[in-house]
Amino acid sequence: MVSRWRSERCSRRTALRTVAVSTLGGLAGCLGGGGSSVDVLSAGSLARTFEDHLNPAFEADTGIRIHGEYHGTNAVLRMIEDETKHPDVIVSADATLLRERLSPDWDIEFAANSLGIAANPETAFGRRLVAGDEPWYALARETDDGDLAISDPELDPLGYRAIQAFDLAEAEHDLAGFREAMTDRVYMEPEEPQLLAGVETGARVGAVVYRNMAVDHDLPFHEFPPAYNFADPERAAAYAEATYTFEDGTTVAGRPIRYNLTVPGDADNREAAHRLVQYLLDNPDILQEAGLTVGEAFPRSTGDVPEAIDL
Amino acid sequence: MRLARGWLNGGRRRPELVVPALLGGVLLLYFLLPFVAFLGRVGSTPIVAGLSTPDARQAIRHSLLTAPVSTAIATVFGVPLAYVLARQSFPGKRLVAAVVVLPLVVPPVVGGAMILTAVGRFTPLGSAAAAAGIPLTGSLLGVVLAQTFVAAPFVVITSRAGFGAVDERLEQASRSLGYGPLATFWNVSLPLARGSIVAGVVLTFARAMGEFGATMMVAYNPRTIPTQIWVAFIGGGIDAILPLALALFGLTLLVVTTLQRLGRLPAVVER
Repeated sequence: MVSRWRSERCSRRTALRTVAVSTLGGLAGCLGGGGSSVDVLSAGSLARTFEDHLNPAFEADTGIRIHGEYHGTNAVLRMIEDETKHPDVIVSADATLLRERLSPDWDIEFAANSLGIAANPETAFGRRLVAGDEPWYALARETDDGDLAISDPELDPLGYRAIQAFDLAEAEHDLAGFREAMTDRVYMEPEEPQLLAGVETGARVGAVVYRNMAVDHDLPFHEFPPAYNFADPERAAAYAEATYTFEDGTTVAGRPIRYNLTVPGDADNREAAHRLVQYLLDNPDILQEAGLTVGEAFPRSTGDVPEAIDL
Repeated sequence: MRLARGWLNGGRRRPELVVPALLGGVLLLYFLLPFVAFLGRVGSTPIVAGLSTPDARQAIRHSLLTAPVSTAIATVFGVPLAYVLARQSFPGKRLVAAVVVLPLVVPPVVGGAMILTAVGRFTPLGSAAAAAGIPLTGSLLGVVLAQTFVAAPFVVITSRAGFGAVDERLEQASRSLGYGPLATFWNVSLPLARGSIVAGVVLTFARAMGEFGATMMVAYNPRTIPTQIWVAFIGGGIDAILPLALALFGLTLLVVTTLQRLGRLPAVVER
């Protein structure tokens, strides 16, 4: 009995040692990294665009691997300001916000997005929206409290853009009190990624989202008209008519949805970052496939773009 | 009603267990409901295809690498700490005990932020390590740091309770028979507290496998299973996270049952 226990202990110890050695070896192997890569810190609404479309294509063409990290745009900018993250490429869903908060040496606007409602096609609201016989605002007015979701306007540009869209729709279609009625009625989701999970599971009948998000989730999408879909840079003045005031008193005016990016001066993998930027500019079809809008207006640069990047 | 009576009459009669069983059943039902609803979506999702993508495989490899290392670190340093806390009174002991519980109290995201302020890339420690080629953030080492911080309290707290339940006179007997403190710890205290220690190791491992909040702050990349699940969720919603979530359930269950089996091996030589 004693010897059995001994041998068991021995074999277990040997096994544990084997596991420990191989684990530590693997850990050390991974620490070195190996192969070139580029770290991208991006607005969450581009997660699928990067993960499913851009990353595989870029890696196949250049051999450079993209390590993507995705948060709401405010969180992305906050992480840079607080120096908690140090990516090679920063991508913002709000070009102005990136410029104001980070004051980069340069940035390039590379795509637009448009606002609308993604709906659950199994709900009455979704069916009627897809049928298209009634205007969306009439259907939205009939929803009960919390049926329709928007992102939290205090945390996310997608949220205050929804409120501003209600505002502009009120003026456009002559709907007295529409913004206030809708603001009271909608559910405000603090986490952007949860917005469409609510719609998919049937917890919400629909949500105000960007078009590429509806494309990502394969949900029917009713795009707002150009007067308030924030997709047309030419209408910047008209969009600015709608404002949203944060709880801290600052006010933000409506502006076109423009994604921009920059490479920080102290990026670890600057060369790879520049190649990724170039790749993004050279392949607008990848972005369009993912639901973004890349019209004549893009790319638009601000500041001194590095020579390595050819606009 | 008849069912309940039949259950009571079958096997050994334990009528005193009816109330606890009913109360426990409520909680069990509450656990099961989301599981069943979630797993009910499996039919419509290609699980194998979801798990065979390079990203998913890499996430599984990273989790299987980091969680055992974190658990080992927590155990090697945590069990001795638990023993000291169980056996010795000293000034500031309450403070030490509170520090051990602290990682359980703060939300994981705050824990991650705390780790970043201590070893982040722009801190003296973090920049020195990065310069030496061992980055403490955005690396597997960063994942281990985050997991250990969040998961280690489980093994400490559980082991402490285990050592506390060991009769000190047995240790004294061992000492009076001429065994040193180390031999006594190894041959008496440790085997007797083994059940609790294994339970703590199991909890720590399970927590490390599922750790997301602190991990994504310290090392979003390289991705572990929970981080990859989050990325899949952002882009693809609930159905997109099913394959990896199932993998996480399966792997954790496998390791936990194996550990529990090991824990049941005879602790002392029986004649």
